[in-house]
Amino acid sequence: MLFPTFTFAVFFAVVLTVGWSLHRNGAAWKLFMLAASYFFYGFWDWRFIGLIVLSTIVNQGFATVIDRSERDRARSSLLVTGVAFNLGLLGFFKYYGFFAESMGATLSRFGLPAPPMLQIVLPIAISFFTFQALSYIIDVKRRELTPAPLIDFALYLCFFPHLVAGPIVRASEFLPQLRVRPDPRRIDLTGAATLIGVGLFKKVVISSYLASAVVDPVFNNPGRHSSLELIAGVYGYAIQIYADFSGYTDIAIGIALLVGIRFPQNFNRPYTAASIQDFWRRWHMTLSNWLRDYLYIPLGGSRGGRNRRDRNLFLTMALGGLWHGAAWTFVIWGAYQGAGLVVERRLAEKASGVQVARRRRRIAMVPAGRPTDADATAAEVEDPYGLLDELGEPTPARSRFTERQHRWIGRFVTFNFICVGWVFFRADSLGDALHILWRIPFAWGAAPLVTPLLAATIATCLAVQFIPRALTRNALAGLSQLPAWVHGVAFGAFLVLVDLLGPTGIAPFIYFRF
Amino acid sequence: MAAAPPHPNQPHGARSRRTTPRARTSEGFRKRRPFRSDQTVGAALLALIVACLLGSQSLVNLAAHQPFGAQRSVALALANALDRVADGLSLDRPAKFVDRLTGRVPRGRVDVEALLQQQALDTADDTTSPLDINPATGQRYLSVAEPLRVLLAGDSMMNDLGPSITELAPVALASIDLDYRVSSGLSRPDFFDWPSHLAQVLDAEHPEAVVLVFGPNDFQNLEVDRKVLEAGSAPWLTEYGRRVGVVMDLLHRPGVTVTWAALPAMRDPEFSTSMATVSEIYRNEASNRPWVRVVELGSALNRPDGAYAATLPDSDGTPAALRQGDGIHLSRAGADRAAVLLWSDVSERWAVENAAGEARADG
Repeated sequence: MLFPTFTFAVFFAVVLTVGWSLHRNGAAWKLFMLAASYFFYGFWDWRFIGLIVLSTIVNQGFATVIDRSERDRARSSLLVTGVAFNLGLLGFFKYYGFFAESMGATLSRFGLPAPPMLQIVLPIAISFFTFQALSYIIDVKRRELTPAPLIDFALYLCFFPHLVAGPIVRASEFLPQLRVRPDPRRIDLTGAATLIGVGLFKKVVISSYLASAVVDPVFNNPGRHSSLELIAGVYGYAIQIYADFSGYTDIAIGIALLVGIRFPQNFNRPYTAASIQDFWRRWHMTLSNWLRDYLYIPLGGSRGGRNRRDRNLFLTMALGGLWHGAAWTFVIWGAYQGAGLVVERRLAEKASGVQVARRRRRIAMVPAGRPTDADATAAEVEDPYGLLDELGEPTPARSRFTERQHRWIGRFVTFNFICVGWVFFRADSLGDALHILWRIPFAWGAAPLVTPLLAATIATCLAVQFIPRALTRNALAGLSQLPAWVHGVAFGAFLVLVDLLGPTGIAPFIYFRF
Repeated sequence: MAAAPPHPNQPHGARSRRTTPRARTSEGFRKRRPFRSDQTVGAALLALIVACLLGSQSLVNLAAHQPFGAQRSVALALANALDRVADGLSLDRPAKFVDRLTGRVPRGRVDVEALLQQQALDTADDTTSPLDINPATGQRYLSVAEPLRVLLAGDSMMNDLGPSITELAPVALASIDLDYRVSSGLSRPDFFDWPSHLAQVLDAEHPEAVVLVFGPNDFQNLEVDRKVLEAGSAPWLTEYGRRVGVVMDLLHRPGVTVTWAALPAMRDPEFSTSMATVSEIYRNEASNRPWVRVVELGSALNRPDGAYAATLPDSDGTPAALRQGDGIHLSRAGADRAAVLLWSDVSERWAVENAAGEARADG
């Protein structure tokens, strides 16, 4: 069942009505939501329900025995077994074909038999619910969480708004909301309707339009397109994947809000990022946080020196790439992001070292009586602009100008760095990705795909990210003063508009396959 | 669901429509007014009703596109009733206005039968000079100035095959138009009317080499004169064959070649049998139409014994997955193998390789 369908609209109308009528009875509400979520998931293929029920029971079992174990070694062994179960499940369904194909290619070179190729149906959402289950048992092992009742955990794992493509909600964020009944007098109807409406518009109108207008033609046959079309295809894909994925999570967050559950934010205007690190704090934030807490830090994080830190960062991003899909293009995309983060961090450290050295030289030239190196606080050493202000050069206005210039240059470089990465993410093969990148500087010619509408769509979608948040928040606050029935009529009309502007038949969300 | 009393700290509803100027979040933004659950549910249901009325035509289409049967009849009756109400209240006007504005008004249906009769009269009226004809192929000579106009059309299988075929075609000598419609076929013209569409494309784009793939969506009940023909029954076979023949005849124009794909085996045995049935119809219909050639995709995608193959060894001997997870659609490797067969047929009938060699020699 896809969000932008009439079937889902009817399903959700029933869930919303029955859900709020049961809200006084916590147990009944949970049972109903669980049944609705299984129905939602089983609508694709009823066999998937067996898999998620298995994952629920086994992970709850692990959480319970880990919690009961007193000895750290036993807890660790149990956790390792639990993690192996989850990764085994994910590995079999999602990565078997990839590894069998890759291994087969290598083994055949040595005349060895290749592993058998199996046709395995990838269950929708397995990447998401596996990560959520992992966070649950790891948090229990870390004593940050006590095992929840089975029904709560089952609902956490399969709650329909986030089940299929996130956001990746932590157990510590979700389970407490099941313990206290949501306040039926404090529903953010305006916020939820806006999120759902904007999400639908992004998915149905923007994403679908860009896919058919430029992205699919360019990526399907890069050899037939000119430089300008290739550039438009790459930029178009950057917008398409953002519109598609953030659109999905907007809808998911909005739907959850309407039933009284809050999800964490997953996107924060990512293309305004002025650095790669900044981008990853704004893009798929729940995955970035998950990878940080359950992969980067266990690998050692920034402990053990710069080289160890950089290795951990690179590995985390490469594995994060593999999470997105069972293909080398995703691994390369992840490694590319990891390498970018490492290089950026090294450059920043170098620049900051130069600034500190410059500061020390200047302080040495300061006349007697002025602050000296010895007077400098650690905060000042980290803040070269504070030093320059102290010395009276340059003026604060000029430094703000320079800072703004740097920020815009950073945004431009970051956006283009990310776009190059998207080429690997979207291309069918490494060869196709390199073909696109290689052709961009050399294939100048006519560009019939690059229409004014396409250029305007890409430019507008980028510009919208720079609208000050206060403006949108305050506008929504104004809209919330309108009566509920106006919200209903306006939202209904908007749904029809989205349907009319979108294509016939909606492609599944890009992130479904992850 | 009982309406809850106002929250003591957050006045709302009719008693207080506006937040005070001081109602701000910790970040300094104005706070949004919260709503009660009964207001929220009411707004959601109202939105659904408004959407159904304003978009009643979409609902009618949605109902009409379901498989023939009782469920479709009920859905269609309800949607039509709603559409009549919307029409009576002129609520469908905004949607029609937007449709006109965006150019989404469906193009009118072509009277394909009349067109075929006209074509039968026009077939002899070929204006191509004999000097322009390549005696080896019976088709015109290709050149960089006048490349071959290729139309790749069909259902979602063509979405898999199209890029692979395009990759094989020389850029300078073949201008390719990929025109696929997901979930379409020849069984449900109410969903997508391929004969009408092809007639319009033929007039507008004048394709010369047409490559078609249909079938996976076609083994379903058909409706003829309000009678439902059960998929696979004798009347169904006759009617489906007639529809295939109509498309083939529609493409019978001077200088047009048709390459029609016969489907490979599918993972699900029952579905595979159905696809073998429709493929047999394609062969039968093409047998007395020399401008149509059926290309057997199974020879590239099936096991040597004709059974379904999820993987087959590639040129290095490494097993390559040929099909997507559904056991129907093609992976890139599978599409590449099948595309070779389809493009070979086009290339042979239009002497594309010779023309490419001459183009290279001309520099």
